Amino acid sequence: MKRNRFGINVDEGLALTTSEEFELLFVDTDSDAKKRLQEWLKYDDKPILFGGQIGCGKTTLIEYVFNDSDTKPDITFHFDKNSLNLSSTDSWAIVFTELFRYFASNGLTDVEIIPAEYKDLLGDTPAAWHESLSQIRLESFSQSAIDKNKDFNNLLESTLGLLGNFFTSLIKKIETLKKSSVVLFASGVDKFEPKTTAYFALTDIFQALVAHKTLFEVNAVHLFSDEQWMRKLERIVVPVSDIEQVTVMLKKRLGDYADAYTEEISLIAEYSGGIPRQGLRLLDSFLALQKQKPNKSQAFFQAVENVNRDFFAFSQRPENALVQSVNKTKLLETTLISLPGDIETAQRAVFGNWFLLKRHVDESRWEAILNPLIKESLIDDITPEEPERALLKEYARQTGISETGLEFDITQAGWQDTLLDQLEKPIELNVTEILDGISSALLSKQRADRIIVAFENKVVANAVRKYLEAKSNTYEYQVWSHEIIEESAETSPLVKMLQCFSEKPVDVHSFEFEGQFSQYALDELNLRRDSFFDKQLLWWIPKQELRRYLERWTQLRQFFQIYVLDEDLAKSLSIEEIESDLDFMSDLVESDETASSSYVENLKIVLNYLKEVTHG
Amino acid sequence: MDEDVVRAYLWEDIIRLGFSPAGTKKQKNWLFQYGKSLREFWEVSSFPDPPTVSNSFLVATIDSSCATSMSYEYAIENHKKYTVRLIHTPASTDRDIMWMHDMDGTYFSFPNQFFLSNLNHRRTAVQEMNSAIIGNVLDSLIMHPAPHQHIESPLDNHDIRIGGGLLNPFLYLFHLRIQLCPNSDRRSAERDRLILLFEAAIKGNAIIPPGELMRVPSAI
Repeated sequence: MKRNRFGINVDEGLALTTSEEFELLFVDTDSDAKKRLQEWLKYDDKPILFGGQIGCGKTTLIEYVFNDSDTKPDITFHFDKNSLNLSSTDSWAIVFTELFRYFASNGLTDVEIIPAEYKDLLGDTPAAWHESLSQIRLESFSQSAIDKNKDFNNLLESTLGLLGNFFTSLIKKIETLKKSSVVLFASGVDKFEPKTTAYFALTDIFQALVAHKTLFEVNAVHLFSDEQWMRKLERIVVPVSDIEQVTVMLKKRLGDYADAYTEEISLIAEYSGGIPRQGLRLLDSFLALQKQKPNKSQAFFQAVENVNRDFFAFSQRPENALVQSVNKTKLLETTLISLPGDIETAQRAVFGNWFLLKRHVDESRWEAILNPLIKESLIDDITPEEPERALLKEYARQTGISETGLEFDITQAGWQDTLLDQLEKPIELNVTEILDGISSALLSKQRADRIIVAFENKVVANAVRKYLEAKSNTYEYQVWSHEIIEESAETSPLVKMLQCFSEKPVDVHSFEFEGQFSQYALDELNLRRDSFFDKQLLWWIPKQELRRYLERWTQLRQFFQIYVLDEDLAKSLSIEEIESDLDFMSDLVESDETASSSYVENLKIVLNYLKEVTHG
Repeated sequence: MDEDVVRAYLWEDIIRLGFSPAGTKKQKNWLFQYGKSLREFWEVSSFPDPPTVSNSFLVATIDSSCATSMSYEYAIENHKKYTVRLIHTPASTDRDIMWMHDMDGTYFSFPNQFFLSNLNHRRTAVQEMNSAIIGNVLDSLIMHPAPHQHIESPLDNHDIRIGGGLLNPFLYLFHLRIQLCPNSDRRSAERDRLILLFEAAIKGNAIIPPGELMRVPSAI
C-alpha cells in the first residue's frame, strides 16, 4: 500500500507489513508481548498462543517482530483467507497446499515421503507444482482449476483420518533436511469464535500443529478457553493499548497535520478504548465528516455515531447484568468465558469488543472497561467523572463552547438515545450524506474501502449506485462491475465473489445480495473477511435482511461502513445541481472509458431518473 | 541586460505559459487538474469536490487543506475578475469567512505586458535567464510574494504567506497550493521542479499543460 511520507495515512487499520510502514507508522511500545514473541522466535521450539481482541494490533505486532528479526515463518497457514468453505477437508487443504508449496520452493518435489497420487496431481517440476497449487487454491478461476481443487480435496478426503500423521511426517522430513525446527504460523485463528462449527472443524489441525514450533494468532477469548489442544501452551496476551499509545499512533497517522487536531486526537484516543483500529476508524470518519459538518464538534459526534453503527448495530448484545457489573467493578472474571452455555455473556462481550481487557489483575481476573463507543447507550447512570465524558467537557471548554452548545448535550440523555438508536435501528441517510461519509473512500483508487448499503427499493438503489459510480469517477477512472449474488447449491456467495475478483480487472466491485442467505453462507463471509481487505466493495443488502446479516458478521463488519438508505432521492439530489455538474464535466470528456466519460454517462442516468420522479 | 529586466520578462512569461488557459474549456481543465492534484500534493485523505459552473462563474470549494483548519472558495469569471474567500473552520461554530481576495479588472493595473512588448527584449532576456533568476521570479510570484499577509490568529504560522498583489486567478490558486502545504521539504522540492519546468517552457515558448504543471515532485 502506498503511504504518504509527511501527510495523512488512514487505511481502515490494515496491518502494517513493510519496513517503510513500520518506520513511518508503527508505535513501538516495547511491550511484554513483543519482547516475549521475539524471545520465542529466537530461542524456543514449543508452540505458542498469541492473542488479543479484534483490532488491538496483533497482526501488526507479529509482522513487526518478524520484520525486525529479519526472518519469516517457514510456512504460514491463512485460515481466514485461503479456504473456500468451512469443512475439515478444506481446512486441511490449506495446510497441505502450503506445505507442498514449501517443498516446491525448496526443490524438494521428488522426496519419497509424498505419495505418488499427490505427485501425479501436482506435476513433474517445482514450477508445475506451484501452478497446480495455485489452481487448487482457486487463485484464478477456471474449469481446470475447479477440477484440480476437487481432485485434491478428494485425495485428502480419502485419507482424512490419517492426515494428522501425514502432516507430522512431512514436517519431520523438512526438519531433517533443514537441520533445524520449522517455524509455522497459524494466521487468522482469531476470526473463529470458539464453540462454533467452523472453529470445531479446525480442531484436528490444531492438534497436529501443536507438536511443532507454531505461532497461533488467536482472539483473547481463545486464551481464556479451556480446550484440549491448547491446555499446555504458553499464552501471550496483547492487551488494549494505553490511551497515550493510541494518541501517538494517531499523531503519526496525521503526520504534519497533527498539530491542527490536538484536541480531537485526545478525544478520539479516549473513545478508541485503546483499540488502535477503532481509533483509526474514528479518525477516518471524522476527517471525512469535518469537510461537510459546519463545525468540528459536530463532525466528531457524527463520527462516533457512524463507527458505533458500523461495529455494533444489530450485534448480539451481552447480558445487561454483566454489562452493569463490569462497568461498576471494572473487572472481568475470565473463567466466565469458558463456561458452557456462556456464549451470550462474557465470550460474546469480549469477542465482539463490547468489553475491552486492559490489564491482568490476578489469577483469572482482568481489569476491563466497557467499550467507550457504546457505553453511553448501555449504561443508564454515567457519572460525570467518566474519562471520555470529562474529556468531552474539556473539549467543549477549550473550543470555547458551552457543554450545552455541543450537538449532543452530554449532560442529558440525548446523546445516549442517539447512540442507542444506532444500535437498535440505524438511522437512514440520504445519498449525499452517505457520500459525505465515504468521500475519502470510493473517490480514490488508492483506498480499498468497503461499504454496505441497505435498501428497500431496487430502482432507487440502482439510481444511487449510478450516482456513486459517477462520483467515484470524478478524478480517477474507476472500472465498476455490478453482480447479483445469490446463494445456490453449487456456489456459495463467497465463492461467487472470489470468482468475480479473478475474472477481470475491476476497481469497484458492486454486489447486490438477492434472496435470503443461510447462516452457513453468512458465517463463511464473516470468517473470510480478509479475502476482501484489499478490495473496493459496495454491497447492496435488502433492508429487511440487514439485522440478521449483521448479527453474524462480528469480524466482517470491522472492515465495512454500513449505511441504511433513505430512499427519497429527490430530497437530497436536485436536478439543477446535477445539471450544473454535468455542464462542467461534459466539456472535459475527450474519449470513452475515461473518468469524465464515466462520470457524465452515469450522472445522466441519475438525472433522467430524477426527472421521471419529479415530472412523471 | 539588467537582471531586473530579465526578471520582468520571465515574470510575464511564467504567468502566460503556466497560468493563462484560454477559453472556458481549457480553464475548466486547468481547474479540474488543480483540484485533482491537491490530495497527493498535500498528502491529505480526500479530493476536493470538483468545480462547477454557477452563473457563468467557475466555482469550487477547496476543503482538503486541514493543516490550517482553513478552506477556500474560488469564483472565476475571467482572467481579470475573480474572488477567493479564505474560510476558517473553528471547532465550535459554523464556518467564518476570514477575508475575500477580490480582483476587479475594471480598475486599472499597471500594463506590464504593454511596456515589455514595446521594449522588445524578450529574446535577449531568455538568452540571459538562468535557474537562479527563474527561482527569484517564482519566489516573488508563488513561494514568497513580495506583498503578503501572515495569519496571526487563530493560528500563528509564519510559513504561510498569502500574496496580496496577485492579479491572475490561476496563479493565485496555484500559490495557495504551495502556501498551504505543511511540509517544507515538499515546498522546496516543488520550487526546484518548477524552476526546471518553466526554464524549459520559456526556452521553447510553450504553454505548460496543466497536468504537467500540477505534477507532484518526486523528491518528496
